[in-house]
Amino acid sequence: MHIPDGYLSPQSAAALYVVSAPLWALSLRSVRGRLRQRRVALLALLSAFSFLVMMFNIPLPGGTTGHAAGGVLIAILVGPWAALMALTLALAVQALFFGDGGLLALGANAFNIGFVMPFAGYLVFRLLGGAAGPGDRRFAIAAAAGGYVGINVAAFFVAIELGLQPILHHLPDGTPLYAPFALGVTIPAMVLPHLVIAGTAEAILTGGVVAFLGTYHPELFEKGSLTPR
Amino acid sequence: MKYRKGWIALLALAILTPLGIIAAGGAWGEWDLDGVRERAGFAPEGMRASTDGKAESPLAEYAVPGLDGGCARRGLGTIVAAILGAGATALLAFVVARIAKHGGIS
Repeated sequence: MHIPDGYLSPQSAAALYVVSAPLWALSLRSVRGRLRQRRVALLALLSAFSFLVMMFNIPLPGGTTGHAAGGVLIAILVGPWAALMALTLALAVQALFFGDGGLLALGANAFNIGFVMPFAGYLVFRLLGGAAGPGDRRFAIAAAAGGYVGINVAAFFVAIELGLQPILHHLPDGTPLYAPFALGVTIPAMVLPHLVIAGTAEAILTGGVVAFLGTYHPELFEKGSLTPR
Repeated sequence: MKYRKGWIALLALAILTPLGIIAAGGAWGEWDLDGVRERAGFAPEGMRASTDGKAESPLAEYAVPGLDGGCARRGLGTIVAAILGAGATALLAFVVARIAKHGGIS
């Protein structure tokens, strides 16, 4: 799900930086106002956690691999705006030192994995969780559903961004200049394996950790908010 | 140390990361230029231009230079890469969140 450099046109990559920049500003503001002092270390821990989770590649149908990202779990623990910060910084380290996802594409990757995933998942979690609290079965099931939806919506956004490239940027004879596959290829290729395998992995991870922490460390959960402050 | 058990859990996760690189094949849509050429039948011009002459990342593929050749060494390299990457991420997140809260890190 990490878009490498070269797949997006410079214009598309720049446009997604423009989209992400104000979200990053809101994330900073939300952390300033909402994240309590003693939870700064928790945010750092969760950021490192998402870095590690993304190293666990799972075989997907079609001979490719995928991985969970932990974005929805982080959103449930510290709120989606702080999750955006945690994930963006994990993605930055991956791009800078590990060649996983491009630096020019960091705006796009932060938008997909750092924003779309935790927000979509957190929204589902809040809608399904209702008044349930940590330790309740419904709380963990809502978390699992949020994880499942979050990673799939993010995969869909990646597919759209890649699939738009041949439409937006091609030679006069129609030869694509960047990511060469049409929407009809990118959407099933990205979404189907995530619906079946990677989404399930994200659901198990999110639901499992939330169930465990909800039982043994319910104090870790603080109600987040979709608004930055 | 705050969240001591959490950090221990992360260390355990880092030690398990060699399991994460066993799966064959890479992620869809994350191929290098040759991989794209193989699948699309050609190497898109803009893509070629933007990958030309770009230095390989120091820890590409989560492998540590010098720690390769054989499963055990590759696995150890992965663990080292995981600890370096997760450590750098935690430090960066700590500093950024600290600055966001206080306008400084002290």
